[in-house]
Amino acid sequence: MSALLQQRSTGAARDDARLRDRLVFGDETAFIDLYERFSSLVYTIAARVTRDRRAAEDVTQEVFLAVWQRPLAFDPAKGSLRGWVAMMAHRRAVDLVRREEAHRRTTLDGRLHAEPLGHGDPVGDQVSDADAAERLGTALRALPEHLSRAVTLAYLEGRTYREVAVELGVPEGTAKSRLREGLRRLAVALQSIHAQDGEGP
Amino acid sequence: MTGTQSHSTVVGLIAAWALDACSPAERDLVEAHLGGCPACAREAGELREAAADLGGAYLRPPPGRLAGLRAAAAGRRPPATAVPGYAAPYAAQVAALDLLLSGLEPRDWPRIAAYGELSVRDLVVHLAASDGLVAAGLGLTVRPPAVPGETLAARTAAVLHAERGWPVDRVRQSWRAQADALCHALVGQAAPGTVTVTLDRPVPLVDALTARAFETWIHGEDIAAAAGRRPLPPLPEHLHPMADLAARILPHVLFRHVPPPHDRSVRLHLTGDGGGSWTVPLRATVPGRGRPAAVISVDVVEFCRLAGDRRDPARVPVEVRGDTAVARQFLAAVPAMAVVP
Repeated sequence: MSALLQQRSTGAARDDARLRDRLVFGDETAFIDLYERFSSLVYTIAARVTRDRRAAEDVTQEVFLAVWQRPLAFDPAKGSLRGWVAMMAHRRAVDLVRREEAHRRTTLDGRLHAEPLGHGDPVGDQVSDADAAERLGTALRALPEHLSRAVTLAYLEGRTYREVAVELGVPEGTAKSRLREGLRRLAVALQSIHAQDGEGP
Repeated sequence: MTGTQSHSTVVGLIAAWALDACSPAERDLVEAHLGGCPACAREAGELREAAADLGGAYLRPPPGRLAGLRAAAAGRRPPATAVPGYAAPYAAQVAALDLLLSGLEPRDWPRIAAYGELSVRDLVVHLAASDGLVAAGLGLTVRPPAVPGETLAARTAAVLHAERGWPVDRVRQSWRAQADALCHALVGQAAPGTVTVTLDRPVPLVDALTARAFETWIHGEDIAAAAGRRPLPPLPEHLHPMADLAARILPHVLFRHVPPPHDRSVRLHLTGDGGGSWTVPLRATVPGRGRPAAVISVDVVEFCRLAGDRRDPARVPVEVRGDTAVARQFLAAVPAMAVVP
């Protein structure tokens, strides 16, 4: 990691810790800041996974309430606030989808997000299709099909790696290693995206 | 499962974990492993960050949801009560302590948390007792009724007596409700600089609120330690007035602990966010002459803990220049100011 990037990530970690602490001290303006920073991220993940506007709103609300109620659950030493909030959103969305699997799943297109979502998107208006998001799409498309399909089945379709294995007709060990290889390649690509963008989208 | 087996299993599962694509049992296995394995923790962190971007281009959440969300948040956990700036550190400490208390287990409340005899429950009552003297000084009705000239010790004993047998939730809610009432009363104070309240001695209202913030923080750390939680220092902008209060009280107590001559001063550099520099005369009534006898640099959070009598003056890391003996006597006297009664 370059010295400049290291410095930036240290500054970002301090900002995250400061926002977390303001939440601990009951600062309502910190809650508003949190919402302004992450509501699109949280809603996007919830909407992509649940494909249901109402469910996405519920997940979004529960994520922000959970952070407000337990801000100390976030440990800045373990990663960014953004990554943590995204994780909470994804977990809740996946839990919801798994509970309502039969009702909710109508499409099985695992490459959903690799396509432009601006037109006819069932869950909302696209805010940005430029810059980081576009380069993410490029990074995803640059992945071999067998890797991107495994990753998107898991993340966007809410499948477990066992279900991914069945879906793709491969052994479970192969499914796990495809998830790992695909996500690792994306992590490398995204690191360079964030290095160009500063804090990212 | 041995550590090595666990490690190789977890390595294979980390990506699935980052994508929420493993079973609950596997998720627990991964998370238990991450605490003790820096290599896996680093990879987990990187993969989590990457997963956060998989939602792709942002969608706009429906507008106008923030107001309802704020109301729901306040219903789940009351925010710090709105107060004038001088009382913001107090309102913040109250909110943070309430968060800590609401997360305690029933078994945590009887734990001894301070002075070898006060339980977590006793400390919350003690805080309510001290707050009550400030509230009564502002003309609020407090329960049990405040007695004119009541000392902090007597007030604490009276509130302990009145609240004996109460469930801990009621003790916490009573403390919080009184703190909020105090905060609300401050909003109506037209000229807080002219008001004095009695906390064993007459104290300007503004300083009284800073002292209440200070004590709430220090006892909050006592409670956190008793319950095995990590302490959280105040925000820098809240820490600064507490350090300033301590630096202003010191000249009133130092002369009893530092041998004469008292026409000297010590330069105090409090380092870290919220710190600053103060010239502290050894006696309030005697102006310090010339250059400071000693210069002491110490971390501002550690200094405040020392002022709260929560650190050993001989063990706090400090940097001293000038007269080392005076500096040592000065540091030894800091806990005696009893900023936290």
